[in-house]
Amino acid sequence: MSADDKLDSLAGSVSDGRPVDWVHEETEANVDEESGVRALRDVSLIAEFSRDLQRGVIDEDATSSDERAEDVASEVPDDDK
Amino acid sequence: MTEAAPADDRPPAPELMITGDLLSRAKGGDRAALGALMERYRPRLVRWASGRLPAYARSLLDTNDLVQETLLRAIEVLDSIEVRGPGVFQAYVRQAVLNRIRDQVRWARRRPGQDGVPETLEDAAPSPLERAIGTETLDRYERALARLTEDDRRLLHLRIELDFSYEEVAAITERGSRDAARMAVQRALRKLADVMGHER
Repeated sequence: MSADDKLDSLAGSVSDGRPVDWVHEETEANVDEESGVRALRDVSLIAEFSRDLQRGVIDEDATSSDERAEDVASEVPDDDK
Repeated sequence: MTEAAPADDRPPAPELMITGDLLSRAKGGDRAALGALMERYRPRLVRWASGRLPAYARSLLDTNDLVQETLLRAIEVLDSIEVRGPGVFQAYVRQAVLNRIRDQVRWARRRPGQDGVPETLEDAAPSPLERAIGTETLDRYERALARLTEDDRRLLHLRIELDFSYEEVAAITERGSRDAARMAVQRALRKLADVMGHER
């Protein structure tokens, strides 16, 4: 699979809201794919947060949002925060 | 490929979609169209804004009020919004709400603390979204978004930020099918990732 194909596939998964094993994808990514995979992982976190917010998984009040934010944040490596 | 279920289980009624036709009718003073515009878009926009408004700023102005006021202002100035294509209204309102949030945050940060001393920027707690992904990542996302075309920005706003279904995205952006909308969103995501990736 070419770098373009792989990134297209990952972009499709992010857009569809399908789960991705990001650790695996980042480990397997070559030099050409690495930055794109990491960027898509970042966008997937925004998408996941937004989806949960829109679907009521995250309560709109601040306390619950903060709790959910911490849950999502725990999925982000420390060097990205 | 399967698509995750949309946030709103109710199928989008065509008359409630934010289409160019609805916008034109609203611009023409059609109250029903104005109401539909608000009804369809406001709830998702409120939820989106709630993720971006820090708790300390949110307490000063209810998120509902902030979005409601911004939407009403946008509708008031509809005639001055240059509608270059479908979905432009949403892109305009997204930026307007974001500007209101930033104004609100700046105002909240300048107000005196309990001891009368202005709170510093460092004291300000981040928004729920910033806490989730990090301020730096969110800034990189916003900068990258700003470098995309208007069409790509509104596709990502509708699908990634507001969780509209592909059918709804297709209707709002006047694309022929859900598959065409899905492909367009996927392409926009690739462009966004390319820009964000080069910023690292």
